Amino acid sequence: VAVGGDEATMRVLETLGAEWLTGHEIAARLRERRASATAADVRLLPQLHRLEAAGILTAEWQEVAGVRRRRYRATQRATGTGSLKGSGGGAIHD
Amino acid sequence: MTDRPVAADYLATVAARLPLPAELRADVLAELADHVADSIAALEAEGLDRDRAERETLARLGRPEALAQDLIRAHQTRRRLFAGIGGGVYAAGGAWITGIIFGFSFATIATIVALAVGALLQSAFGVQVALQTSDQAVNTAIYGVVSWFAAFLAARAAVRASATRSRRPIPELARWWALLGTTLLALWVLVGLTMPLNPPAVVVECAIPFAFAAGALVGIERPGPRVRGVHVVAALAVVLVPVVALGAFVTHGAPSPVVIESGGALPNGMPDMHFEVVGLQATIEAPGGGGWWSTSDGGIQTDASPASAIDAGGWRDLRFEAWVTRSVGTEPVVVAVLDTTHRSPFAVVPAVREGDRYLGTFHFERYRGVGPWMIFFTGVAPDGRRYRLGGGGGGNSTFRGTVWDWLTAPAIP
Repeated sequence: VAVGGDEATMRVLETLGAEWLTGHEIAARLRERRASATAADVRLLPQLHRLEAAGILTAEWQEVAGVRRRRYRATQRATGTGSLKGSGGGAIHD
Repeated sequence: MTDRPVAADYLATVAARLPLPAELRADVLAELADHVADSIAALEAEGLDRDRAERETLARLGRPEALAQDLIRAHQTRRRLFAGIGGGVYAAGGAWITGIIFGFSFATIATIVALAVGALLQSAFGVQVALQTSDQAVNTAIYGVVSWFAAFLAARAAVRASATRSRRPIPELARWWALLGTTLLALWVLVGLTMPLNPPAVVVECAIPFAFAAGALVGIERPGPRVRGVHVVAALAVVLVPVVALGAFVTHGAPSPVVIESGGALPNGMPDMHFEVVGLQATIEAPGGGGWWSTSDGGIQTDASPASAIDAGGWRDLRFEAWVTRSVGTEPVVVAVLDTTHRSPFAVVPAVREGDRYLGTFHFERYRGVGPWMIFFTGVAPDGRRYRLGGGGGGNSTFRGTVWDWLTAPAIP
């Protein structure tokens, strides 16, 4: 998976930035941006796993407020390539 | 996991279609269950009732079969497959070396124990145990047993490493490793591995591929035992204490534990060599030579000379014959005599004149079941009968080749 290689990847990276988010939280933010109920969830989890395999995202099981969830964050590779600038949903350069 | 039956069905459907390594699969399913639970809770917080929130959540995720397929594709990439193959081969190589070291250590300890037990039996009960052999195939059998350890460990390492790297389930990969590894090892043993062989060594070698298959398939999903320091110390104590004690006993000069059966003796006390089985002794002066030496390609070469004197006697059909022998006597006086159960030579080569001598080359290592032998130089006299012209030099050979060579080789009658 190339960073910036497809729109779905770019949207995920834009949403994530340097924050740790669960798949559900990412989907919720994507829905807020695109106002599309279903498109955000369908294939999101496989997409996250694919990006993690490519080294674009990193994932960890984290416990926050007593709730253990798997959370994702963009890696240096994603933020350092010029595809993603800033954090927490910064600007994207296609 | 969710307490909603529809969501539970959805998750079960995904789970049933997710052939990933157990730990990874559990992680993926746990994440999916959390995602469903969080989504339902969020929709309920927005005002939807529980059933609608559940239906909406599952609709957003799409068909469970498609989701499972996407998750598999996300993990089981071609790149990971190649990494799995490479990692498996690398791990197998390392485990093979470990197995060889472990196996030879085991064989060494077993040999020391066997020697010590033999010496103990001899000292305490006067029982003599034959532990010495000139059969090089015994070493092949030992090497083969050592290779069982190596093949078994290599298969396990290969399956586990490739499953981890390729993110494919262990049973699926175990079948492939068992098939490919066993086939390759069988080919190697059958036509590639050239060793001294006897029947036990052939059986031991042929078991190597099966040891690999067992390593790949038997209990491969069970985690290995957790070895702690106390286990290592206990194992060393159990093995080493008797070994050292018995080994020390052996070093106190136990006599050589070789037993040789007694043979028939002539009136002068010498054992009967039974050379008459080969033919009558020629009355001409025995030609020189008769010794033998090894050739660079593993053969045994012998000669007889002077050729001019032999030719002057009108001899024809000159040839070298190899006969099976056995040992008689008791240590330290052991003599090789012809084994009279064999009424004909097991190998015959024509004598080829070269200068003033006759030469013949045998390849005993190509005869299945070859052991001790004796070479004679014979010829047919003008009276039409075959006579012994010389020879009597003996030695010992072991079949050498691949298992396929063994299966297709001529056998000692």
